[in-house]
Amino acid sequence: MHITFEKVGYTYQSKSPFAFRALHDVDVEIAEGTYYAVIGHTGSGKSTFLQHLNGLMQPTAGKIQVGDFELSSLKKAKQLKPLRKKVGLVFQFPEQQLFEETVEKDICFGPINFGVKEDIARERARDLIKLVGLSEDILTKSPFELSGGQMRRVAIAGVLAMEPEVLVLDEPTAGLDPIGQRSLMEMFYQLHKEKGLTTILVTHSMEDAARYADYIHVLQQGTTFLQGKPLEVFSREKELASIGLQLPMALQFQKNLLKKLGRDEETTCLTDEQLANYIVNLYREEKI
Amino acid sequence: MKELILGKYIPIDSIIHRLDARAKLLMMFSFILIVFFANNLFSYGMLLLFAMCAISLSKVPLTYVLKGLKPLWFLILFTFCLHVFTNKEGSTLVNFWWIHIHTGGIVQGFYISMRFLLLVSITTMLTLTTNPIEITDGLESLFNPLKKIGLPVHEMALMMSISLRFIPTLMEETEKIMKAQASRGVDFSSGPLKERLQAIVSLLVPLFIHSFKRAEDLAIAMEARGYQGGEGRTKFRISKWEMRDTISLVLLLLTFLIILKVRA
Amino acid sequence: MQKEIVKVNKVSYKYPNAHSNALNDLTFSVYEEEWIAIVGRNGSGKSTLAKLLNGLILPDEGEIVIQEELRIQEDTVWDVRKLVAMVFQNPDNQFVGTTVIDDIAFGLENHGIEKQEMDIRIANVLKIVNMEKFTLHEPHSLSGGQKQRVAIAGALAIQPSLLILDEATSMLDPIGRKEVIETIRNLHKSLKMTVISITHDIEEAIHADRVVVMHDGRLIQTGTPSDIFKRNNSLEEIGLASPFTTQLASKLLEKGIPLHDNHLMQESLVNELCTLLLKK
Repeated sequence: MHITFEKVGYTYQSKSPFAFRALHDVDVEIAEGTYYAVIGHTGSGKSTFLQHLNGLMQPTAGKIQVGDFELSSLKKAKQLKPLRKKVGLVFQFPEQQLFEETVEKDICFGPINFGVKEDIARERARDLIKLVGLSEDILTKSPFELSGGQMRRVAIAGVLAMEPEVLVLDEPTAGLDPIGQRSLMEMFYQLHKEKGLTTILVTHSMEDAARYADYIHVLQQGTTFLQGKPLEVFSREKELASIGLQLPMALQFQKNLLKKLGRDEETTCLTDEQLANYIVNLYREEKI
Repeated sequence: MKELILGKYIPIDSIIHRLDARAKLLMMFSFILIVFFANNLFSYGMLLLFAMCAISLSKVPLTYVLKGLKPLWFLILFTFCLHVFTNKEGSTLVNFWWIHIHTGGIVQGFYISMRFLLLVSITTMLTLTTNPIEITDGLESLFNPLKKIGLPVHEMALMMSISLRFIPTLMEETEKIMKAQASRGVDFSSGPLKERLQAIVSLLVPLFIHSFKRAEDLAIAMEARGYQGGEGRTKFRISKWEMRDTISLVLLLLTFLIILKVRA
Repeated sequence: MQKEIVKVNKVSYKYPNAHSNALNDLTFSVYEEEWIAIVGRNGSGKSTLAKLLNGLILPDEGEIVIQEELRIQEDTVWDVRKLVAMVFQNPDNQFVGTTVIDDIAFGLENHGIEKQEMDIRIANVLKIVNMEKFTLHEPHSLSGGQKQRVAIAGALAIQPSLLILDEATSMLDPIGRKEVIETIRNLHKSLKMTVISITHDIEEAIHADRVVVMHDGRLIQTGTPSDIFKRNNSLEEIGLASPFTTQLASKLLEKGIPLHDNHLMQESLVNELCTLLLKK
């Protein structure tokens, strides 16, 4: 599903003296199957942006196209269910949405709301519970008996069970320990590759954006600050620093190293592995 | 939605705002009782005079006070009509088919509506000019003597202030859960009854469960911070009873005495 | 001889309905003015330890002694809480007061501090955590980092001997985390406060004087950050991540780069690599 935003804006309570412009002049083009990272501080307009993707909010200015579905400031769309089925939104601390008596029932909740037959939904639940790294016997337990990390995975399975074409992730690893974070991000990436899911990740982690994203969009004060391919965005170090954003650690390291060595080269290492290989190559080439 | 607390506090520097919360609470309770003593134009007139003076001294725009009346307009109108159409005292004004209206009905209807108006205006005035913490502290202070008969005054006041503190937080959480469930295909605004009930369940269950977890965490934090109940606690917010508080109560008392004199 | 603020001696604990012990024969000490970071995966027992240090639960076996004289037991918990202050993980679920100063005052009211003294202490702690401009703010208008700083202020106001931070940065965004870590570094340095921070954030642990590593209810390592986070350490096996620099150094060693030194900070690794590369 192709997604476009054309001069999109959202103003809260526009008719009152308390009017607040959360988003303005946002232009976005997300090709199908892209891994798209959105970076920005709290208050940059990230969550307002996200909520437009599945119609929780509709723009007060501009036009949004999600596949065949259109959201425009001129006409308020009424039937949002088809959009909500296609765009799966995983909120921050998604475990807070669990409510059913059993894990299985909760995972099936979404798909059943969208008209999927119960037995098919249950099959999906069985497959997904394994995909998110939990064992099948958890399906019969109450979600509230589980640990925080387990609850989170169940909530994510519940969104994946809707079989969306676009997966939107709002800081999915918030509050998890480093190992938990890594395994969750890897799972999403695998899913993205296997199913060709358009994935939109809102994150604070420059490292995750560098590692996984095909395209990065930096939001600041409700509008686009920078956007482009990762290396393009990260080449603008000074501008990023001006809004309090640092480069991913691998790139930082590479930059520092090259500076100290007195070499004037492009920095290209987006991950630790790439950096390690780069250094090894430097070492080997010097030897010759 | 977060701003929707009945008669929300409007911070202005007026003499009414500066009155001790206890004085205002006592005046409000007394006024409510005094209202029932009025039964003629003069007595209602006195009450109205008192209320109008309070409102103008508070510097709160009249529109805010009237907003507090909005939910009750229907009730007032209904009561008025009830009296108009059922009261048989006084001379007949209308005698048409099954509609009988007497002067007694109009007069009584008017007086009873007046009562509503006065009661609601005064209570709205309290919340408009007094910060919720001050109201809670004021209530705690006034009810303190009842501790001797076993009423858990301190605990109730603490419950009130903690509830007040969490209202905006809970509203935010409600909004968040609604959005999450809407994203899973729940429709909160339309659909067959069965589905709407399930929608509410998907909102209330997480809300309740979190509230319990929240309460548990809060209790642990309070204990860790040395909370052992009301015994031995000191108070950070201390309100001083000033001369103006005494004068206000005296003025109300005078009003009451005048009413007793002029009533029928 | 430095005073022993906390002595944990052969402590074991099992939760009522659990299959196994949350803590097993744990022994360690914390000395005056130290900043100890306790790291471990979720389930390693670190939260249980936090609750024991505050008397919220009592050990099944062993004992915990505060300031060399106060043994934590049922009849001393309230005295313990005068000496040991805690800041919890959820910024909202420990904020009791309707405004910032009311919340800081809550702890002082509980301990029966006189109003005049309260005013002085509140002003002081607000300065320390840099929240002087927020006195009458209500909690819902504050960020997570700001709420945690208020919690720290509330803890400091009772003038404890020990400050425990139980995963105080886990639920915060990077800015909030930075604010809180800065605040802790500050108060550790200027107030010479003894601090125990329970965390899985490596960036927080790196600043500590000593790191205690827990796994499966046991203490498995203790030492300076440099000792613990050095390369070749078996942290990954117990599910802990190493700092970026250490991980990079390990990878390079694996691929045959002859590194000698132990590196925690990027700068020092950069320097060693330069020396290596330019030598030839």
